[in-house]
Amino acid sequence: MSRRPASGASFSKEFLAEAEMLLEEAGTCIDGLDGESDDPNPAKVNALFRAVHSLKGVSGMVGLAGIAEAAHDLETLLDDVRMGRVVPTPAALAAVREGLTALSTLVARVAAGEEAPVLAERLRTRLEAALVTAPVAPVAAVPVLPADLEASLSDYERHRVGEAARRWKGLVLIDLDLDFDAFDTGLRTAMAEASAAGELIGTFPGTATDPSRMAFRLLVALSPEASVPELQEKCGACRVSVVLAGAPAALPSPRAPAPPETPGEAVPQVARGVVRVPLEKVAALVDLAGDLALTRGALGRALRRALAGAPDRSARYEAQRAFSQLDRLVSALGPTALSLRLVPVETLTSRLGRAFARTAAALGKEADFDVHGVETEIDKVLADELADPLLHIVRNALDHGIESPDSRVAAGKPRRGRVSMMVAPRGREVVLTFSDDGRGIDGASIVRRARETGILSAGEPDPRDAFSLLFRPGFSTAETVTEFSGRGVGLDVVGENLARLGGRVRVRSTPGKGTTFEVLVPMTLVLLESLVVRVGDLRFALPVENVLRTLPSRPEDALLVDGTFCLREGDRALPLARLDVLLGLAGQARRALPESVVVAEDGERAAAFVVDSVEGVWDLLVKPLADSVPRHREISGAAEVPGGEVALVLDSGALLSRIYASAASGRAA
Amino acid sequence: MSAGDLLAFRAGGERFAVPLDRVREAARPRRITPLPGAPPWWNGVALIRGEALGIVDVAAAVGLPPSPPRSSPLVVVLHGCDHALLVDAIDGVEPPPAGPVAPPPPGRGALRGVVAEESGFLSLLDVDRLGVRGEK
Repeated sequence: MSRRPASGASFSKEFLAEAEMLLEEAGTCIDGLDGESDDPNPAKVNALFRAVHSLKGVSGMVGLAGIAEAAHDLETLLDDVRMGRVVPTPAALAAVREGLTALSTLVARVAAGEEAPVLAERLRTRLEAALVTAPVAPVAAVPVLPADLEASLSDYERHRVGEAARRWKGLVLIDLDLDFDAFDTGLRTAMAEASAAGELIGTFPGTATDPSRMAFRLLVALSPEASVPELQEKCGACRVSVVLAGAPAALPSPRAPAPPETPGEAVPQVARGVVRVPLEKVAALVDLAGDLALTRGALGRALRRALAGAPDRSARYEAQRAFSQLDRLVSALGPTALSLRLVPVETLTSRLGRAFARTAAALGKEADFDVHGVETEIDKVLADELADPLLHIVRNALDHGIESPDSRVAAGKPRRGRVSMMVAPRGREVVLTFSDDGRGIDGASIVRRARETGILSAGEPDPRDAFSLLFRPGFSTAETVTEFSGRGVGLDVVGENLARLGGRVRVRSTPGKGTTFEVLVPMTLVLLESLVVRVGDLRFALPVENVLRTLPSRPEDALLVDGTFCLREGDRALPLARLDVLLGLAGQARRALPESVVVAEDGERAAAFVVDSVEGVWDLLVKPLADSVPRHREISGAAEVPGGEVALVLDSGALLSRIYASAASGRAA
Repeated sequence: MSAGDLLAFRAGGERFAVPLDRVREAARPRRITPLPGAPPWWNGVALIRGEALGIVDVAAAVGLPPSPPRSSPLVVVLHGCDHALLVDAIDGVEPPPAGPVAPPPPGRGALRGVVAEESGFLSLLDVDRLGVRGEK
C-alpha cells in the first residue's frame, strides 16, 4: 500500500480541523433542507454533496479508509438525490442525517487517538433502506444554450438545466465584463445576487473584450418571483439574456418523443471480447470527448499566451480555470468509459440454465432453475471470469443439495426440487445468491469431517463459520466424488477464483431445508489505461500516464550525441533506443521496419524507444507477474488485449533506466 | 484421493509425475506468450483464471529437447507456485510407486528420483526446483 496513515498527531490535527469544518458545513445544509422534501433547495443539496465528497477526499488522503468508505456511501446517496435519481423523502433525509452522525462518530474516534476506525457495518446497507427511486421524468423543453456553454456543462449542471426546464422556470445568462483588478468583488456580488434570484447553476469563463478585463458567464434558473430587469440592475456591469422564459407551473409539460422501438434488440447479445453498447452510453462519451476538446483548446490558447513571455495574469488565471475544468471532465470520462464495459448478467445465466438442465438429467434429479435480476449489469471481464465458479456452485447444488425425487417425496417435500438464483446490485458490488431447497448441510458434521480428514489440525480451534471449511483445499474432494462436482475443481478453487476477482462467498444452510451460497463481486475491475505497441510478434503495454507522446519514426529526428542516438525533442535531446534490442528480441522475425517512436517518462526522466507499430490505447486488466518468474526486469506483468492476444506490461521506471544505461555504454564504447 | 497419489503425464516422450496434492488443475491456455529475458526452459507467460503464470517447459527443464510450439498447449497448474508446467498429455492419477525410487540419471535436472516401469521409467519431478534450476 502506498498510502499509509501518517503516524503522530501532526496529520490528525490538520485532518481533524478540516473534517470538523466539513461536517459542520454538511450539518448546516441538512438543517436547511428539513421541511423541503418536495423540492429541496438544489444549492443546499449540492453543497451537502460537496462537503461529504471533500471529507471522503481528505480522509482517503491521510489513509483513513474506514471514514473514506463511509463518506463514499453517503456521497453515493447524495449524488443520487442531487441528480434527481432518488426522491428526497423525509426517510431519505433522516438516512442522510444518520450517515452524518456516523461520520462524526468516526472522526471523534480519530480525535480520541484511534488510528483507523471503521463502521461495524456498511453505511450503505442502512442508507439503501430509505431510498425511493425517482421515476425518470421527461424533459419538458430543451433550452438552447450557446454552443460553447452547452459543451462545458457538467452532468450536474446539465441536470439542473433540465430540471429548471421541467419545472418551467426562467433560465437566464448573466454576462459580466469586469475590470481585472477588481474582478473578484464584482464576481462575488453578481453570484450572490444570482443566488438570491433563484439557483446559480454554474459560473463559466467568458470572452473578455480586452486583456485588462475578465469576463464571466453565470447561468441562473430564476425563481417565479424574480424579475430580470431588477437582476440586471443589481449585478452592475452586466448583460442579462433570457435563454428560456418561465411559465406558470399549471401548463402541461410537452413530452419528449419516445425513443423508437427496436424489435429484436431487447436482449443484448454478447460474444467474448465484443460488447454491445446502448446508444445513450455512447452519446455520453461523445459529449465528454467534445467537452474535452473544447477545454483543451482553451487551455492551449491560455498556455500559449502565458508562455509567450509577458507576465499575463489573466492568461494564468484562464489556464488554471481551463485546467480545473479539464480535470473535472477527465474524471467524468473514466466512469463513463467504464460503463461501456458493463453487460447484463443475462449473458451468464442462460449458460448456467443450460448446464443446470444437463446436470439434472445426468444425475437423475428433478429440479427447476429460476433466475431473478438478470438485467443487473456487471463488468464484461468479470462475467467471463465468473462463469466457471458459478457453474460449479450450480452443479454442487444439484449434486449435493437436491435429493433424489423419491427421497424428497419420502421427506414430505415436493418431488421437484428448486434452485433459485437472485442477482442484485448492492452499492458498488453485485450479489449473486443461489438457494436450493435440498437436504442442507449440518455445520457440526462439516467440522467433524474436517477433523477426521486432518483439514483441521488437532491444535486448531473450531472456526466461527463452520461453512468456511468447505473452501479449504481438499475438503470437497474428500466428499463423494461424482462425475459433475468432483472434477478436480473443488470449492477451494471457487473461493480462490472469487478472491482473485476481489469477491467472496458465504454459505448458510439449514439441515433438511436447503443451502444458500451468496457470492459478492465488485461491479467493475480496476483497469489501467495503456498504450499497446508491437515488436515482431510480441505486444507490449505501457500505462498512458507514462507516455508523453508517440511519433512516426523518421531518420531526420535522430541525432548522434557523444556516440549515442538521441531524439530531438524541442531543444532537448532524449536518449533513444530500440525496444527489440533492449529486450534481446533483435533476432525475431520482423514483419516490417520499425515505424513508431514512443516518448516515455516516469516523472523524473524522459527517453524514447522505437517499436514496430503502435496498436492503440485500451483499458487493460493488468496481472502482475511473480518475482520468482525469471525475465527482464522491464516486464512487470501481463494483460489480455482486445482480440485475445496477451501484452506484456512494461515497467516505465525500469525501462527508462535501461535506456539510460544503454546510452551510457554507447558513449563508453 | 489418498496420501501419496501422483498425477502422471508425458513430456518430451517420457513419463513424469508430481504429487497430486500439489495439483490445482489442468488447463489449456489460449496462448503462451514468450517472455523476454527468461531462461530457455521457460516457455513464456499465460493468463490462467485471471492470473499471470510463468510456464515451465518440463521437457526442456529436465534436459530433453524443448517442446515444439502447439496450437492448444496443455499445462498443469500447481498450488503454492507461480509457475505452471507445460506437458504433452496427462496419463491420470496413479498410486504411489510400488518399486524403489532410484536417484536421477546424470544430466537430468529437477528430479527427486526415478522409478523403473515395464517399459522405461517414471521420473518424479521436484516441482519447486523446476523453475529455478533447469540444468541444461
